[in-house]
Amino acid sequence: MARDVNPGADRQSTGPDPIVDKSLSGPLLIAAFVMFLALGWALYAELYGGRPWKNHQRRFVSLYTSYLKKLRPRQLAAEKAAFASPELQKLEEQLTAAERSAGPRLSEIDRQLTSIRHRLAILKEPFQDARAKIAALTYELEHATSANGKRSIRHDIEEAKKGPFRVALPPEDGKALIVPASLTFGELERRFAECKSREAQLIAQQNEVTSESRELRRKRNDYLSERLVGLTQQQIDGLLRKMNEFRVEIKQIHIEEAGLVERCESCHLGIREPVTMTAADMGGNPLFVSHPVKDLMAIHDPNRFGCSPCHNGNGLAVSSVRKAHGNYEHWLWPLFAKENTEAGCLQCHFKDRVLEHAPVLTRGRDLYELKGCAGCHRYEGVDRDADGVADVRKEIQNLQTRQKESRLEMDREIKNGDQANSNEEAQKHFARAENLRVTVSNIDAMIGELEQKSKFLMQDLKKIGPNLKDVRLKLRRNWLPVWLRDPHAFRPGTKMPKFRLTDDEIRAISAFIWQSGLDGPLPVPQAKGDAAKGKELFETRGCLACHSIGEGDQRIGGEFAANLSRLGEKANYDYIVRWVHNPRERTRPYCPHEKRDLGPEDYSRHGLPFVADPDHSSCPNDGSELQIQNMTVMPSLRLSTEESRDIATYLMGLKHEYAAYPADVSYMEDASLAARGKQMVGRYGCASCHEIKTLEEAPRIGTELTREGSKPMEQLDFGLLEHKARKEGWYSHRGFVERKLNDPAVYDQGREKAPEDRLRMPNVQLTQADSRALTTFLLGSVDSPFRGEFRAIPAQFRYLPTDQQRDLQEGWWVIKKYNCMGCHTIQVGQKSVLSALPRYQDPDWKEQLPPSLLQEAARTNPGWLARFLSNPALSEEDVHRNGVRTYLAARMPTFNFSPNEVRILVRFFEAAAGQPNPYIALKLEPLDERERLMSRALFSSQAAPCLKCHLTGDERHDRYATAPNFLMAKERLKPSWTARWMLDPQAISPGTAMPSGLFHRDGDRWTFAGPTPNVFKGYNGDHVQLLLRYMFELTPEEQRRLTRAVPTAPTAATRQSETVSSGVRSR
Amino acid sequence: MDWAQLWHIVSLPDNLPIVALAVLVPFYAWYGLRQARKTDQLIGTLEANPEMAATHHRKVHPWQPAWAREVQVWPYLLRIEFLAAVIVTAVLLVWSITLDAPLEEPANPNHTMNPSKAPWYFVGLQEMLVYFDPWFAGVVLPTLIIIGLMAFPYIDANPLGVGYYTIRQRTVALASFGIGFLMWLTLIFIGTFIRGPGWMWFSPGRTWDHTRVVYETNRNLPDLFGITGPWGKAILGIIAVGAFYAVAGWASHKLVTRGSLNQKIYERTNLLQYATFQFFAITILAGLPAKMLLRLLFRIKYVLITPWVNI
Amino acid sequence: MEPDPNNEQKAGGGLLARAREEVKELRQDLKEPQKTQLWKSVFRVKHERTDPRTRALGVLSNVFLHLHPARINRDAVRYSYTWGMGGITFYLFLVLTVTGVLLMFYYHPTKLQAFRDILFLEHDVPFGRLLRNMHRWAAHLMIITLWLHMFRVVLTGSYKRPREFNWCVGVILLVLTLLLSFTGYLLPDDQLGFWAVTVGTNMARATPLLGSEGPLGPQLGMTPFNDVRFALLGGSIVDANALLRAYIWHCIAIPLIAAVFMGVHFWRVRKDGGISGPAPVMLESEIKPPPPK
Repeated sequence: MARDVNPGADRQSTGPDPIVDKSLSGPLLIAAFVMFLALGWALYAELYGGRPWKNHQRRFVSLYTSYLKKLRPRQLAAEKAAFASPELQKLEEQLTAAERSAGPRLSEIDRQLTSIRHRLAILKEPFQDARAKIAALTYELEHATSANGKRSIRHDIEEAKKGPFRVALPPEDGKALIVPASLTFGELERRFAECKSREAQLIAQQNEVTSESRELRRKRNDYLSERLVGLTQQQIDGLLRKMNEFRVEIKQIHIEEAGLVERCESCHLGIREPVTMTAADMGGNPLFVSHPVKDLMAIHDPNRFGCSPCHNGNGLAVSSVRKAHGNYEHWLWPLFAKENTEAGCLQCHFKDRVLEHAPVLTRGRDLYELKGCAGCHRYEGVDRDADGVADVRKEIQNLQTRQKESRLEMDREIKNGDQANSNEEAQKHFARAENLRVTVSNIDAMIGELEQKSKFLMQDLKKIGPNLKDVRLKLRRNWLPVWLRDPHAFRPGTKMPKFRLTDDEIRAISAFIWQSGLDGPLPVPQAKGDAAKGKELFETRGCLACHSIGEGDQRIGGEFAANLSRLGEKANYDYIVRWVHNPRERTRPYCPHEKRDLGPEDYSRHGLPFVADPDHSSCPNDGSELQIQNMTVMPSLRLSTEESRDIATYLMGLKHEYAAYPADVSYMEDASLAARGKQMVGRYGCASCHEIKTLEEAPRIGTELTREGSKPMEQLDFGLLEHKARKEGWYSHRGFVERKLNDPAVYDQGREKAPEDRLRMPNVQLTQADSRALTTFLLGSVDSPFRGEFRAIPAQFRYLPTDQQRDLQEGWWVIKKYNCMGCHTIQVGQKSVLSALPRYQDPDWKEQLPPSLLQEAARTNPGWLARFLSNPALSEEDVHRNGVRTYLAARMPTFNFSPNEVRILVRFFEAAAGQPNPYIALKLEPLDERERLMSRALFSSQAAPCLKCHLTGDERHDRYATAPNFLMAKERLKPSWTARWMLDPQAISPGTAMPSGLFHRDGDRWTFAGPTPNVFKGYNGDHVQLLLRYMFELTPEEQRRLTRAVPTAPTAATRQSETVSSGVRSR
Repeated sequence: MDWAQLWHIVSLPDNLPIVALAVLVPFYAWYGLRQARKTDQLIGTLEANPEMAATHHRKVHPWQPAWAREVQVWPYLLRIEFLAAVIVTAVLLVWSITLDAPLEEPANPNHTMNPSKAPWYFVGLQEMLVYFDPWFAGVVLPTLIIIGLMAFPYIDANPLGVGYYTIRQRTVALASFGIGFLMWLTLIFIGTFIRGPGWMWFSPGRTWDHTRVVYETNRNLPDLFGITGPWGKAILGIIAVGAFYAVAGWASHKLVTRGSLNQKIYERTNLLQYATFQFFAITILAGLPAKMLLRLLFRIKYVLITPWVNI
Repeated sequence: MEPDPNNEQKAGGGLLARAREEVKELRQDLKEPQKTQLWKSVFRVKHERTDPRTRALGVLSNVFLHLHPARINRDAVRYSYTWGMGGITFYLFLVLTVTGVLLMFYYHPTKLQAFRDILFLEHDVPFGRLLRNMHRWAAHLMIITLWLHMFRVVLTGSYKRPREFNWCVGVILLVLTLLLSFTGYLLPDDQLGFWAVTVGTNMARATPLLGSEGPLGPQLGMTPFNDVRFALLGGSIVDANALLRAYIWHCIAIPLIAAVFMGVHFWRVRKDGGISGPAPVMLESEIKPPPPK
């Protein structure tokens, strides 16, 4: 092979060698350059590109600092004012005085302490050293085997203990000069112990001496803290200092047990600041605001819960807003939109019916029930009664089968026993048979239990819509199709949603409904009533708490039940009278076992009278529990027949005169149409809200929504809109739900479907706010226990209410079910519907408002409360009145709760008032003769005319009374509360007519503020207790005796006494 | 024409390599073949006049006697290798900064992705599933491909064309490999860009619609002749396959032996080599496309139907 | 450097002079470091810019470079011939090894942690995202370059005698590379990898004889719980075991095997006479009669 020639050689003879002579430096240089650029870029991307929070943090520091500086002077001024106040000055003086007086003693103690500590320091080293050495030897000793080995070690120990240890201890006073002492271990130890104890003594003394000043300082601080809103100027300075030392870094919360890493605060730096900051305060930058709901943060400490369990998003990411908020395709838990934030609460609080911090969410839940969503869409735990009934029935069946089996088994055993060829064998068999017999009877007991339970459940079982078996008795025939076409046209805002029905569908459905209705027994024909009276009654008895009346902006009343303004166009007078009088009265009892309504014939067949009431609630044919009442939440107001007539007459008068209805609706009698109609009704799931003949047990037609919020996107059917949605950016659960709610047919757009395959969901016509609330509720309805292997909401986060918390939530279900909040205030800050009505704005009517039930259980005896709830008239015969506040025009209705619901309610109130459960009434001392005299005198004295306002049961007087009857106190009230009430009623229920300040404090007892009758001379007991005891043993006779004494109220009050709404207190 | 859709598929980070392939393969093919053409011209001239052949240094690259026939690896090779390394690193860096590796939802066995595709380099096989049963497309075929590749050098009895780009001296070898490579790439392209939800055929620019429904009845060859009996089917299938092998074999033989050079090579190949070559040529290079066409154009699923295996 | 006589004389010249001398020497060394003992110990040969012998030694005496010959066909260094694809593939393998090892520090192959670890890599680990991206893209790139390398080898007929065997080794390396990439796909434990691997391994079900759904598989008693797929996944579904297996194959087993084959591959390139060309063309007219079989 050729030698490699030096490229320099004979250039001239040959051209340059393209391989050897070509230089690659150029390309190399460029490539290197490019690579370094790339490296630089990588660095930049790592340090800045991926760390936008760095700038945010710098900006925050400057903004926050300037804001604090702005804040400081204001707080300073406030403080100055506080400091200037005489009380504080006094405190300050006391404080300084105390400190001065304690001064010398303290310094003395300090001096001693220092000297003692000095001595200790000196002793410590040799002592510990010696102790260690001895300990070591002792160990040796314990583990030595040979006897003389032990002996020698013992000897060593003795030696060691002898020491001598030379320590130079300064004497106590430290004045005399130091004498080096040589001590044995024993002495050494003793001295050491001495010093220690001395030190302890001194410290104790120190505390004792300073105690007073400390106490004063605490007082002073408390005083300041309650005078000063916001931060003190020291605190602000602290924050400013913090800002000076602020380090730009990732701010991270790490929660080990939850596997959470939350870095949200790397950008949202203001969130946990003690100062309240709005975007405006932070130079219009919403990024830095403090958390809007501070007390929520107080309950959910971010250091325990992090951020993303509530808000979702990707707590780990800080590289970009998109990533951090999890708003990218493959993140399953994107941040909840602002208006749906409360969805986050539901992820853990899925057991709670009412969340006070989450009004939107709670509203969502309410709507889900109110609008009857649960009728078609199962949602775990919403339709409790229906589910309950189903379970119980299943259970009963199982038991019955088991019973049958054991019966057979038993017979077999007995037979075997008879045929047994040895005695003991026979015994065995009989024993078994005996056992089985016991089982059988046990099962009987169980079944009885369940029957009872199912009875209660069926009593509580309600339907959203009216019972359509009564259409023929209740409605005008030709109104039906008009209603079906567009309920909202006839009655804006009704619960009945708008279905997308074709004309012949409407004909078919109305035909079926009409023909499926019962045609008897017809309600008894009623005479006309007085409309004017009716109106007054309607507006005062409390109907408006649920029903509304008037159209457009005239509309007043509650949204819970129907708006009755056009009732006259549709209804049948007689039926309405019956209904108003007792809505629960059912035309025919329904037997869930036979799945049909029973008529007189069923009863007569068994020679029974055709009565179905709580005492005759079992089916004559098969003995199973009957549905004996209309499944409506509408209660009975215990109106007299006349009153009912009046109201009905009034309501029937409400109509549009011009309203026109199709004249010919003969098709509604066409049986063939009905057949088709039945299919429709089945398909549209009418039976899920209404009770319809032959469809009572129809199943739910919608999808379950319990886990809607965490369904995989692919399982949400966007129809043909998917790509549109993706482009327009609403391809998300939220987008899906919102659009579906606003237009349930939206995802059928452009699809070729047979009518029967089209989406069936009707339009509920929600307002913007409501649809948002419902969306929030559904978004929060997620698979809490399992959220993908790696982002499970930790079990310990999920909130499972217990004890009184559970009682509360249980109660809320019932309270919402019957709309108690229509009349009563149950939640702090909640206004009842009535209180918003124009009539009750008049000061005279304010006292006509039903009582607020905050703290109800604190006042009333649970036993009594239960009795009251099940019969608010508190009497069997005289029922057309309130049990307690007979003077109220509004009437506490009879809901006829099942014992279950009564129990739940009582427990709710107990829990709400934080009352210990069970309640044990405290025993009151009976009055002796003198006390009785005194109390009677005080009770009826001019200065405290109790009976002037309180009911006495005397007709004449009671007209003007505005407070409950004392006779009830004994069993109704809790003494402790009553005492508090007498002292300061305003504090308990502001605006009450009961005067405050009747008593004033006198040493350790309360005495009557007014002139005390002279029997009181020399009495030094507590007047409140005295009256209390009197009240609690008040007897009717006693009361009558008193009432004779009391002057009847001034005649001036007879003004309105004629109207039903009497009882307005005169002034 | 849904450009957004098109862009969406093409711009998926994991599909970038395929886009790159679409550029690189043609480029290098052109790059290689250009040199091949040069060489072929040289060969032509040299074949034409032997005395020049005797003296010529027989490369397309310039050469002067004074130049070294060999050069030092250090630095002349190493510097190029270094340059390459640098460039690759730079490319890789930029690519990694600008494009994030995909990360989807946490794995969830209860929630099937649609379409769920194999990694792009295996998508070809997945696509074959449309035309063959899994046992063939997923197992036998890849094995065949590997064996075929390994056998390649032992089949090729052509003494010419070692160490330089040329076409005229190696038509058969290049053609057979080229076809195979091209098919593989095509399958990948189809599988990635054409196959949408439900592995349905979405011509480029058509929106991938999860709810799309297509009517496709797949027939089997016997059905065309209305044969139902299992034996009938089997026999017909065997005949069909046999016929195909015969025809394709004859055709490929004709192609392979065209030209004097190919003749010479053919003479140098022994029976085993030739048989193996034909087997692979027919089965893979001719068979697969044929089956694909049958399926795509005539909706024929199976040709050979037996109780155990269907092809 | 060997002591020279004048040093001895200077030695007498007092400490200061001595020190000056030392400094001078030090300067000398810094001027031409290749003369120092340290330098020589590292680079065993003296390296003159133009002396062919030392250049050759430079390559031969270097553990990394000695895979190369000392000299090489003058036209082989042209990019146009090799396209450098083989080398680039190998380089990518190195890149993957380095990034891969770094990634292993942050990854647990367990169902609970795998996905979270990837998130941490993406958001937490310094340069974590860059690492992960580089690893993934390098893997893709490696496959491309590998295919191109193969393409080139075919175009230049470099697989022919005496290089047939090395070509086979190459094919094995191709398979291994694909497997490497495939096993890596599952590790993030996300939907993408999960379903890709599911699809991939489902094919194994249909393996003739060895698969529960393959021809004659059931007849041979293959069930989802004992067939080849089960062996691949360590279970009948893609789950924790599959993850662990993928991890071990991906990080340990296959790389080792691949490394061995690479060694062979490179070794054989040398032994089979270096890279095949550019070789002088051979003419049809020069074909010798077939060698005696």
